[in-house]
Amino acid sequence: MALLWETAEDVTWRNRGHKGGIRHEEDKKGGKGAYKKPVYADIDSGKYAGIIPRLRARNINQHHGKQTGRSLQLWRRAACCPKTNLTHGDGQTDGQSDANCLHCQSHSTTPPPVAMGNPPHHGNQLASLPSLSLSHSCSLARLPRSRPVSGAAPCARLRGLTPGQVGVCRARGEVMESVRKAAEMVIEECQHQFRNRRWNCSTTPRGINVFGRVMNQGTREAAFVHALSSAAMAVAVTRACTRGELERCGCDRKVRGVSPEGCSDNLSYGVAFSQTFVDEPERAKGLSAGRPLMNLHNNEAGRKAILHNMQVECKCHGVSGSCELRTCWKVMPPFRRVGVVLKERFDGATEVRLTRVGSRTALLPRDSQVKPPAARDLLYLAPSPDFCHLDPDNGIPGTAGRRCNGTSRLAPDGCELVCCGPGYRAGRAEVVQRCSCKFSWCCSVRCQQCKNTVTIHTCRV
Amino acid sequence: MAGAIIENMSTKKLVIVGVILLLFQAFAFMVGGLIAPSPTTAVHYLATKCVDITKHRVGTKWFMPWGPNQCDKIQSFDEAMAKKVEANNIVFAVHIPLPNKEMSPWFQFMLVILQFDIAFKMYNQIDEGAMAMIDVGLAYRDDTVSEWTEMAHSFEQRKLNCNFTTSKTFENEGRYYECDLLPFMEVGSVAHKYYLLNIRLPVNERKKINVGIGEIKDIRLVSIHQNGGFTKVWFAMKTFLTPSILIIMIWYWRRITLMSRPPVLLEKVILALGISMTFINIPVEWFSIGFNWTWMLLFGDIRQGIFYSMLLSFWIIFCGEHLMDQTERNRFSVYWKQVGPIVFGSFCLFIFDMCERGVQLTNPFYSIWASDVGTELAMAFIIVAGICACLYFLFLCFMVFQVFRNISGKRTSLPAMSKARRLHYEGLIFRFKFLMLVTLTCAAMTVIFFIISQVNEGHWHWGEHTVQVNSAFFTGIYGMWNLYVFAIMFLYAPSHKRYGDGQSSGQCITGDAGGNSGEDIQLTTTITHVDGPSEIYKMTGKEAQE
Repeated sequence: MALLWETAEDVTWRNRGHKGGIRHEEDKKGGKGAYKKPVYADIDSGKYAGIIPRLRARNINQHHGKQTGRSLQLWRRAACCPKTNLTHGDGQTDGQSDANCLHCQSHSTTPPPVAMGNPPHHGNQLASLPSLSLSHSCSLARLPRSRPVSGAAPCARLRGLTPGQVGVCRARGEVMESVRKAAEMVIEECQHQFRNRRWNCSTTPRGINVFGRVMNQGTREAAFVHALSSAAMAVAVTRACTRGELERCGCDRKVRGVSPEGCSDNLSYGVAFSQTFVDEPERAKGLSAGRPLMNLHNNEAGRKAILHNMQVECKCHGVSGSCELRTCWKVMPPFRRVGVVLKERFDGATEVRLTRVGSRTALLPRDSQVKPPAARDLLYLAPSPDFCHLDPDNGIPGTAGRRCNGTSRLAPDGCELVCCGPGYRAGRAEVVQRCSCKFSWCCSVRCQQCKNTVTIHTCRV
Repeated sequence: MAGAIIENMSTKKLVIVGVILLLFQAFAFMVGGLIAPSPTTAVHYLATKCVDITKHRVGTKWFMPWGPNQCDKIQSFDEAMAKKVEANNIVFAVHIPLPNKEMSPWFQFMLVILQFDIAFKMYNQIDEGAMAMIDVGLAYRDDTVSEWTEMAHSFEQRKLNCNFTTSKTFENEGRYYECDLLPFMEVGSVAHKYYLLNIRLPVNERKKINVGIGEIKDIRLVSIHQNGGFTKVWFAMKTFLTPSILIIMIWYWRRITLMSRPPVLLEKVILALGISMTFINIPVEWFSIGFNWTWMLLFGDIRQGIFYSMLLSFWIIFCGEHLMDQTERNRFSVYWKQVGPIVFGSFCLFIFDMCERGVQLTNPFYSIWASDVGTELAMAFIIVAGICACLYFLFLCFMVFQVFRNISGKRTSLPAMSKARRLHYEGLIFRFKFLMLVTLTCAAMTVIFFIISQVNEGHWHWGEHTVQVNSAFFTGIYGMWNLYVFAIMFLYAPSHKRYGDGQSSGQCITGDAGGNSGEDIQLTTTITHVDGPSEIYKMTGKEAQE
């Protein structure tokens, strides 16, 4: 579903942090002994866990340069909600737009993470994503809820949408928030799965494709992103349904795959929506070319990764809680699990080529000794570049300056593999870690700070 | 009157009755499998994270996850952190049902299961034996605009039984723990259209409340309710079965009272079985449509319990009364050893049920499994009940074994008897075995269908038809035990054939006059005693004295 990405009007450099180095708020504050003051930290990205995840997160961002101006522009963009009335002065809000706006505002009122020098990984991501689709959701928020808008709809102004997708957007504007959420999930999951690889799923500012032009070349990476995206779309829509945010879940007959006589469950709706929305552009391109066929297959493989990994849970509730009466239901796997499954499929992906079989065309393995791929396997048409060198045109950041694991040899994150030719260098750095932290289940971490000296390996330029 | 109908009925008639009953049985299965939808539905809910910004709470404020007047939402807890929202200000809101749907009294009950999505973090793991303290409120309303009315509010503790299947390394941070389902709420009637749950997880570090429960990402709920369509089919079935069993019961008891002798124990037990079946059949559930009777669930449990213990007692007494040995039974007190475990076991289950569903009448969030003491107590009750059940089945198997041993003993002496007498005995044994077979078939069917419904996904596709296996199980098994009770009352009612016109048994016994002298004296005495206990007991009693 590169097209999800192509819907982005604007993409950003993921990195607007400091060049290369390791700096933390603790550093800035001088590091004079342990802090007694509680520090609110992002407990999600695991920074408190110490330097290792923090650096790992950092090393995704290798781009340098004129980021700050860009990010400011982004944050201004994020303030597009009716509530703040910065760009749209109509002030007509309803519940839905309020909800979206809360979201927008939460970003816009928060200074960009870089200003705090705080979470490099997650912060950047949140910063880049609004640019990806908040523009959509905010403009979408001004639509009347769940009512098809005829004529001049904001949907038509969303760049990158195919006519079919614009139709979906018009008919169900509320779903676009889930589209945005799906985009966030894909970037986060992709970067998690590929954090140790040469291609680490970094996003680029150029072109309409978030992950760079690599996505348009029918590579293995493109296959993975397509599969992950269609899965994320199904998951995001299903989750929105179970939260009650979408009104016509399970009963919407306009989406293919829902039986006409009754309402099906939310997952079928999510999968059907993913099929409608994500596959639509590929179908529009025609089914005789190799690329659309590949993308369609990989999209379906992504959804299969959910459907084949459903867990069944049961509850007994008969007399005295006996299993005389038992109800079972299926639970969607956590998205991390879907990511892991697809990563395995990525490693075992099959290279195919377009072959004419009888009157129609099909994708068959390039190597005739390989058995034909199953529906759940990932397919690719073209070999991937080595991702070693900076190639801004294709959105490849290169591995120069990347952090790597100096101790593990031949592992995917080992320096030999990550750093390609020029080798790597080791340096010592003093980092401030958080220690003896106290957590609550949400939102607050109280830590003391400890200094540590660690050895860091980075790839040579 | 000479014995029960089953003895005097010709084989042909017996077959006809059997076929009719089988037809009804097939019908009962088909009603469930083809007409009714699946018995229950599980609906997933993902709690919306609302922010409670009010400083001083005046009264209870209810947080709506969607629709008009929805709460201030946050998408994730990263956002909460950015906005400096604390854990105590977060309210998880779930509206049951989902938008554009409404609940109905036809759902009969609603139980809700809670699940935490807890992400693994190296430095924020779940402590051993961590307990989650949940502050939960339940409210209802019957239209979409009015205020919410509080229905229940409670502080509940739930033990987090979570394990992390992969290795606990930095690599695996962000994966979710696999946690046991937590029983959360159970209401015995769904009288309102809309329900709202507001869940808080208050943190108090001093009192160690909600500390060390990991990093909660989401709260998922699953609500289970009976399907309206199934309820209707079920009610229809009960409404149809009640008069059928009632009529045959009255007919049966009238036959017994027509006799000059007082009813024997087995006849009384059969009547009791009929009464307990009628008790379970009476469709009082119709009232739950109009009234908010939350005790209906508990009442249903009690009714089922009474029927089950009655059925088990019936089997014991049935076997005991056919035990062709010398002892004079016909008294309930003889069976205390066998019936005792049933009574004690069902009493244990009753206490357990009262502790769980009884308390839930006042606090729908109560669960006996939530506390350690409660779990131990509940397990104790269930284990005792299980031991009683084992004990009972040992007794029952032993008794059945004895009956068959006596029957085979009789078999060996059959060729020595005269033809008419032998035929009669063979008939008797055949019919006794027939009934044993029916009972075993019924029990086996129940077990088989139970296993099928447990293993199966719930429905089979058969061409264009979808067969709801679970519904077929319920209606079929329910219909089966009704037919079983019906058949017993019908076949074991005293026969109206008198010796004068029927002559069958009378003749066969008198025709045996030349044979065994002592036995014949015995026989003639029984025959002159016209309205004695039904033939089979006389026979068995007589055999016993041989």
